[in-house]
Amino acid sequence: MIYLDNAATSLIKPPSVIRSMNENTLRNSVNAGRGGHIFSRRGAAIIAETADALAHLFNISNPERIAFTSNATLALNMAILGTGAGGGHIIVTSMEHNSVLRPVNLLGNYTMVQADSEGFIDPDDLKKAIKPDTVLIICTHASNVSGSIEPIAEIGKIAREHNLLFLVDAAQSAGVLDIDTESMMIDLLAFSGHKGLLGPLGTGGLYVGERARLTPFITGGTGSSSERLVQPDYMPDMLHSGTLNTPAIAALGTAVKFIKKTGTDRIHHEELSLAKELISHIEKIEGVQIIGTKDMKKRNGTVSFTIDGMDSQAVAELLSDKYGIAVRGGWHCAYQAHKTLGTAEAGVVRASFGIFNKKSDAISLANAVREITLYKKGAVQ
Amino acid sequence: MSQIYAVIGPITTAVRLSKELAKRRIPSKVVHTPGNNGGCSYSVMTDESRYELLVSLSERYRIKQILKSDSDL
Ligand SMILES: Cc1ncc(COP(=O)(O)O)c(C=O)c1O
Repeated sequence: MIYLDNAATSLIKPPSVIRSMNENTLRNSVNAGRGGHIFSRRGAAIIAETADALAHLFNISNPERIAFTSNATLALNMAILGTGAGGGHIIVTSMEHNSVLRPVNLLGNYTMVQADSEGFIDPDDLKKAIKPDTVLIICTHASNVSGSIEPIAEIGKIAREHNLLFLVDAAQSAGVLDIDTESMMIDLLAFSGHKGLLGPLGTGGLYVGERARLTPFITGGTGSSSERLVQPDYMPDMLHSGTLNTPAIAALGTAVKFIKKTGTDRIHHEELSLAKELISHIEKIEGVQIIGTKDMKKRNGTVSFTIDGMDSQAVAELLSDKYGIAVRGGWHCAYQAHKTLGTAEAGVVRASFGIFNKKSDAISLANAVREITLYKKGAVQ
Repeated sequence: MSQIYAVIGPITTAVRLSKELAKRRIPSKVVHTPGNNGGCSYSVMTDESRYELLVSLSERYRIKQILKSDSDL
């Protein structure tokens, strides 16, 4: 089977991550911060070590401001509901995933800024959407549909100039693109641990910068300040209600070390060269449309395409069942992005490359797509 | 030798302070804050001669208070 759905999760992990997961499940299935015994302390040391590694990767000066979550969705909900609970106006883009749009819609007071037909946001449009009661701007770093890389640093500057908080959805960029919370002026960074960071499923996190004041919407036991009925107001405990998944967080730390050793530049470059390889083959096939920009400097290793007259989910199923290639059809939990890109009717077939894919994977997919289009035309029986 | 307690909220911060002290070759231990000071919050216990050092590290490690003697507990 060829796995090309790394935008959903990175199925293949570095061997060191698998080892770490196994060893830590065996030895460190410990409850950090519950009790004063050695296991509780060991758990806390593991959590702190992974936070340190992430802080280094994202240029975060205080690792204590990183909270671990089970995925990016929970982190985004914490950031959005925690910032917007007061009813302030929020600006989002049409390229956001439902894990942004649904919590924002729940709050109600928001403006959705349209991206262009290739999926790019014009920072000026975001600026124009600012109202007197705006509190937050949210933008995805890289689209999970078009692969477009958004001008995060420019948007961060606008948010800072207007004294607004800036939340970046790094689900598709963490571990692949450079993220510098300082120079990009990011106040809130939500990330998955299980996608580009190559950590285990059930990992993710939220960085909460010094300027951000969040109201925690999940409260409970934190192992600290237990005498009080209110949630601790200090990070990370404020957002760490309930038992953390210590072995998975340990393995995420190992994954971050792998990313740092390999280098995000190299990872991005390799994924991009596979995307380029695929595009170079399928763009020549009649009836195949590539979605988004062909300017490789502005995109990541996600390639979405349509085949004229064919349902994207049917194509994805055919690729899986007949050719042993796992890609994702449909709307990718981002219908507004599809509307923006003009693909809302039939969705797209999305191939997303990871660091462990090979050139032959891209070629196999291109050959399969070519054969499918020939079948469709009746040229092949 | 008497011990002092740097009272901190999160256990992760306490672990970090303890690591910082270890780097300076100062023995310390992360413990539950003794007595009824801070519910089940965490503290770093070390020798009382380190009081000034703990004061200087207060801001960085969000030390809420330093309990100096049994009478503080
Ligand atoms: C852009 C984007 N944001 C958020 C998410 C949600 O991530 P998670 O599955 O970690 O909750 C995804 C997942 O595909 C995504 O692509």
